[in-house]
Amino acid sequence: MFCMTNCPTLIVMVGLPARGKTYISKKLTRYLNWIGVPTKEFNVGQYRRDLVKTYKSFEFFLPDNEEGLKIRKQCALAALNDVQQYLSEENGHVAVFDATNTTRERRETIFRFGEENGYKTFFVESVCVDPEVIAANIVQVKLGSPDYVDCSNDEATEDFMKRIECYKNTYEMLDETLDKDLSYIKIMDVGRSYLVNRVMDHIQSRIVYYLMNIHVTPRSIYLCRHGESELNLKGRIGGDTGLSLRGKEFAKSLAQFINEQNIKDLKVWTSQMKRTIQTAEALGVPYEQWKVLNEIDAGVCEEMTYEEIQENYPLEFALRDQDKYRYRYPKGESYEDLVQRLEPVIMELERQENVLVICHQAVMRCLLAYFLDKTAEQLPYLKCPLHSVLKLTPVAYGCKVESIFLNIEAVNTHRDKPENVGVDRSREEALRTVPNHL
Amino acid sequence: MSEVGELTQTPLQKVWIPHASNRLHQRRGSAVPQFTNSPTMVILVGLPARGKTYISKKLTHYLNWIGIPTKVFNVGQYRREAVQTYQNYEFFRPDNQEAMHIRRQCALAALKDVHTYLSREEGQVAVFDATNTTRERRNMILQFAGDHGYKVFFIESICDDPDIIEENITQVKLSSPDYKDCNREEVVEDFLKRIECYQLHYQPLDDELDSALSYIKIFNVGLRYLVNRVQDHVQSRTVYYLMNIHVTPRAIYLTRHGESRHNLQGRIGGDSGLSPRGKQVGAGHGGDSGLSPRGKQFASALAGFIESQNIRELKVWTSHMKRTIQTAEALHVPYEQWKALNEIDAGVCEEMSYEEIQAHHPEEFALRDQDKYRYRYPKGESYEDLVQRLEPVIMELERQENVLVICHQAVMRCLLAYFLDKSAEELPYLKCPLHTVLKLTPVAYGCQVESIFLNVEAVNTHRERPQNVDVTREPEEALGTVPPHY
Repeated sequence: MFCMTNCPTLIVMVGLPARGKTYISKKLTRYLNWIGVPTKEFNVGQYRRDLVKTYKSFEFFLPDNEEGLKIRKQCALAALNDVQQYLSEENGHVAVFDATNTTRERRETIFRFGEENGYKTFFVESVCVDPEVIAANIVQVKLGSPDYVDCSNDEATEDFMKRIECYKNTYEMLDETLDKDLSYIKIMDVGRSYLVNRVMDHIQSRIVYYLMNIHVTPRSIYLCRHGESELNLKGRIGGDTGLSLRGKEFAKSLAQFINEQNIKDLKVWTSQMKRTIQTAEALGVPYEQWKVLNEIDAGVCEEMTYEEIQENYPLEFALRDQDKYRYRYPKGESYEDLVQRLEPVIMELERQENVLVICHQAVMRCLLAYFLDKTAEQLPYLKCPLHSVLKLTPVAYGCKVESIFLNIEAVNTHRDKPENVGVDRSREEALRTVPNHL
Repeated sequence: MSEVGELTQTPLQKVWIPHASNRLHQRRGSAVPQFTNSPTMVILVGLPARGKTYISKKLTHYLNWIGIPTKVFNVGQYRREAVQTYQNYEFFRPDNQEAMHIRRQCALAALKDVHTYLSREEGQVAVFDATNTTRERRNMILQFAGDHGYKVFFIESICDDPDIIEENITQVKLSSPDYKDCNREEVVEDFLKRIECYQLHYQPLDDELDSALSYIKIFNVGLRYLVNRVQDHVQSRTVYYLMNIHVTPRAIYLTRHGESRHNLQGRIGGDSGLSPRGKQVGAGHGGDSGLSPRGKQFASALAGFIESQNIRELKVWTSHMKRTIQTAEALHVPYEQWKALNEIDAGVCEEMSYEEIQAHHPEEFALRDQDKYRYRYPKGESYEDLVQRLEPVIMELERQENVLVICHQAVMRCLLAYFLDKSAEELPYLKCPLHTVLKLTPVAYGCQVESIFLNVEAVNTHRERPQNVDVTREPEEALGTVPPHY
């Protein structure tokens, strides 16, 4: 795999409270991990909550509150300590330092820390003056914060606005002249415009591209597989066949479901395999075909049943169970390869609003893992049954998932990890978790 | 809602489409996803010698290569055709009424051609390359675009570094038709006065006044960018591309792996030596279609060549296939493996000779000759697919400086087509012989190519397009252009 990072990178968030720093930190971390760059976020507010068990009021943040300042600096240093542990000792590639970092003095401390440790530093500043956006942020993520667990919404909002005021007087934005030697991106008004300065390497370039493509407009992403196919019925993997009778029923049912959802400007995407296209055709709406949404290439095992794979390639079968994410079929692909080829799909999904993606089991697992922040170990075992639609709606810092089974029976194609993954296991042990088929 | 009907697969591109004629979407059945809806005008803004034409040409290459029909309209070219001889900078003085009139006429003529291209000739993007330094001129263009339903995206290049400006003048103005009979001093002097003519009335894109426009401002050749209101996919890709290109001098070396055993037998594709783990291919694994003895010789010759070139901080990239990795191993330097650099997947034809393809799949063989760029092997790929998967490689090549890419015939053709701006028709027939290194050096508006044959004999793997590409042709006609092999 192309190695994108030489020295580790320290991403430093900058901005007043309620400007989306944590939202960006978490999203960016999720994206980088998904594409294979080990990344971790360090939220200084969290360190503060761990140290100062109970939050009283905004007065903690007053710029003349000596004790408050001392504690906050301590927390920042503790977080930086953990950053160093992660990047220099635990093989992390990117650390996202999530705090306000609104003074030049604080940023210089962090920059020096980066230099001393051989990290490249990249600043991400979020600037927003639109009161509606700020109010919406407060509602989405602050009201539910542990800081305000016993407060009414009005009390929380009032306190939080005063908290923001505490930072405003000492806020020194990244400056075109004073900070001209730093590498940074300044995001203005939730992405209306961006100022990008001195991008130094590949990973920073990718980060900038990603940040410039994400948005916060409410929308939903619908993920589903093609209707049950002829090969599904026979328990065979891969191939390029058409839908079974029940699969065709599903396609009609999907059309009805989509109609009822009354979705604004829905885009529909399929792979270039017959079964997803047949499914989309039933919707009677325009759709785009993506070759990169094609199912994982099982190479020499294409169109085989698991029983046949066990008979012809028992060693391969066992190796796959040992590490399903990294295992590559002979002359085929791995889940790891799949994630690489799906990256443009994820990028375009971020740009778009309402989208229905009609794809395949392995592909859907990869996409789902991105949205739900699943690890490489969990990804290949995510449950994506036929004839079920997953509706993903971004909310707060994550994604709400609704699973809608469209009431048309289908075979189960989910094979759990067997207990015995040793290459010397018996045929029964290998095939124990194979779902029923014709 | 419609019935779940039957589908057929288009014979050339292997794309599934419904039997019945498509009443819905004229783009259904496209091999690559289409993201462009309304046509887009990309408008360059900036004083002379700020790299506008360089950016225009490069961006146009890139968009065309990834499948978005794009064309440049250089207003200076229209002016050269209207005013046959260029006298001196006084043509550009803001008080030269007659010249102002001519220049406006040229801009309008160019806009007329933009309209023809976008609205009549199925162009998607028109790049309008002129100074466009006044708000008045830009408003005229916005009006024009609005009238025709085109989206507008501005690219402004701002530069105040006199060294860069002088370098630009040296690189591209000295050889301009305007300065055919002048010496270097004369050119620089006149051109600097030309720039001054524009400077007085230059109104850069303004944060406040132009806040509703979509644009990118590039400062000092990419040190800093200001991006405002990116509207859609094409603009997003354009911004990403512009932010990754640079002008630091460097060279890109393209070569294929050393001759393989399959090459000797006239067989296409294949790989071998995949370890039981099925993961990364490493040198020294068993299997047959690694390098031939001559291929190994080439690898050593390549090592010698690279050393003699004394290249600063050379990065070496290979595919995941044994033959490129074996070649790289001989260099004894670190290298990166990209799966995206793997050879085109010939699907059911993998590891066949052309004779075998003719015997088993004569119709496919003919279809491929009919449209080699778009033809997709059954269960395999097309050149068109290859370009899509190579896009991240191109993007990273743009970011990098000195790179050696050890790849494969079809892959190398795609990369070469990008750097030399070859069309989809020419691409699949570009000559990329074994044991030859192509050294590409960016210069002026294009790329200088040096071809270095490393003096180790190899089979020829280049098959020209036969005369008869009809499915009814005789085997002899089909196989007439197959190069000799064992």
